[in-house]
Amino acid sequence: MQQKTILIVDDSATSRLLFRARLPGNSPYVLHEADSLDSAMEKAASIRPEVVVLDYNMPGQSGVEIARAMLKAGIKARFVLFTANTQKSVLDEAAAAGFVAVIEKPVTSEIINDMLEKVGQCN
Amino acid sequence: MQLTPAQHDALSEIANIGASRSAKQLSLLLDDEIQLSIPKVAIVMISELPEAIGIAVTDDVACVYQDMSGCLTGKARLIFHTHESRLLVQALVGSVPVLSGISMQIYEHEAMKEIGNIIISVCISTMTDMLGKETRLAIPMYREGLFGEIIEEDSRHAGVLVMKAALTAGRRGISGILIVTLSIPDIMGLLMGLDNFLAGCAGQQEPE
Amino acid sequence: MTILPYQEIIDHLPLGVLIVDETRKICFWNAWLADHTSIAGKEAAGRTLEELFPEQDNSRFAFALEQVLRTKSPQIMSQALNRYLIPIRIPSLERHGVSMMQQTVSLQYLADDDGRGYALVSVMNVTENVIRSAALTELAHKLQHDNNRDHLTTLYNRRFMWEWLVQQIKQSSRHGYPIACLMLDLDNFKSINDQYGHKEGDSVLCGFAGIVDEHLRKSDILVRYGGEEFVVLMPQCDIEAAIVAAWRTVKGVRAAAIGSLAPGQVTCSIGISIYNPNNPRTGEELLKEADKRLYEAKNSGKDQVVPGSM
Repeated sequence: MQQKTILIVDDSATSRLLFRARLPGNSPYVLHEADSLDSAMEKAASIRPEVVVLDYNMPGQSGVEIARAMLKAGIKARFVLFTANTQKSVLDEAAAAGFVAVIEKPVTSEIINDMLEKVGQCN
Repeated sequence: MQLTPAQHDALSEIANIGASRSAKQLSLLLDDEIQLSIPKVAIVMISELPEAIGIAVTDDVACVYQDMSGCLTGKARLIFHTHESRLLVQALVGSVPVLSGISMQIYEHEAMKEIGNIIISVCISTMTDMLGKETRLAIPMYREGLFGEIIEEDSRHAGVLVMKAALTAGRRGISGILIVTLSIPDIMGLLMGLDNFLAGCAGQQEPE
Repeated sequence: MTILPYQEIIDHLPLGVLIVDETRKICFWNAWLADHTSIAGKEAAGRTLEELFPEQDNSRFAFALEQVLRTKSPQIMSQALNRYLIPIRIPSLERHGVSMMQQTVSLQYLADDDGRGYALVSVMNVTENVIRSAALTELAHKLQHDNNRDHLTTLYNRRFMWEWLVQQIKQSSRHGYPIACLMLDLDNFKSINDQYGHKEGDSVLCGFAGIVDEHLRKSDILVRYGGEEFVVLMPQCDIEAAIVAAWRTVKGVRAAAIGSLAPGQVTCSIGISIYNPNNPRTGEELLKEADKRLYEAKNSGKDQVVPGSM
């Protein structure tokens, strides 16, 4: 069976660590990490993730900009925005760019489960 | 004071979450989009503070502050340059002509206190929640004055946690700095809290 | 120390006090609130603020409450950013543009003996402060305005003119454009005053100012310089355009009924000078030259324009 993967893109090692720690143990997903636009594009092309979780507030490009770059490069995945800044303007921006969900920081197992369920329903 | 890369990253992420949550609450309060820069964090000795944050002791600043007690005992202060803070409030509550230096809008201070209170309470509670440190804040206060006078009351031997971010509200940009003055033992406690937090995350990693 | 009846004390306080539990239900509602909202303590008990006032947007209060109960730290809601928490009408102050009581609200954490958390909400009436502040603001605006204006005609005064001219000359030098200066004087104004009285004289001055204003562009300023002397300053205006504007004004004044006087009874004389950025001079010199030309106009029969040389 093809392994399902999640790619998390966040410049903060702590954030990625926390996400990994909260990913449920029985989850069928394997987690891969990237910390910038370049490493994200590289990883996405090679591992072809089902889900890409992107931090909003990053130096350089924002999570939304990286998602756009990936879509342009033909990467087919479900995009999820990861942020503590859930202002209406941010939610609107995410929706317009085609994100299927926005999850709040700090992340919990429940939040991840709900998100994966939602993503599953999108297919 | 040197933080390890892991501690610095963890503190930055905590600051990022705190600042982002504050931005969201402020956007609801002010009914406007709030943009926040990625906060820069550091821990310094009180003597190094002016240089570390780029505010001279002779600078005129506006300050919202709250005393802290519990696991972390000290003072949380949100510092703005006076001129900038006046512009921010004017952008939010309307401008008033100034007659020979007397500001007619005394209730500007109440608005600043509320904005400062939101930022301080959300940032501090985010940090204490994530690190498991119980801390209580006292009522928010407002004062204007020289930066040197404002930090004069702090102990010579205190350490300061610094979070610097720029926020844009109502099309007005303003940069504020959150400084949390703590005793050295409390700073050490904070660092230990960070280490425990990171260890906890790593320990919870499920084997594949 | 004697045991005092705390509930009675809180009931007598001149501010609103309510206590809300972790489920946001009201468990105390003091007499001040009951009096001002006509909702009795018994009625309010067990209900939330949203239930009592469903049309209100209570999201700010909800967040403040959540923060207080969770972090045990205080929150404040300023009048400036929230206006009020409890809707209370005050018809007696409506003429000051305020119909609802303006309030500053503070929330503090309380715990009972069993460790359950509550929020103590204090509601303070700051309406008078707000009205006074607004009145002072209006006064400040008015004073600033009056400082720069002539009382009778509401035109700019000399004080403002000099400040403005200094700035304009700087701009003119920087960007290389000319400024036209017109000095206007009502002809035979003394005899108008003597013949028809000072009240009519004032009326004529105001009417004259109105006519002159019609011939000006938005960027021009009209100043009451003296008793019957006026100055017009026109940035980015050369000698030809200034002469045209001046003659139009002279003809316009001659043709108009001003005050209670018939057309033709009021005329004016105008002297023109031009500020040339290539040949800089002071504002005083500019006005002095316009004044000289005006003098020439007066001595040449009045009711005319005499331009200066560049």
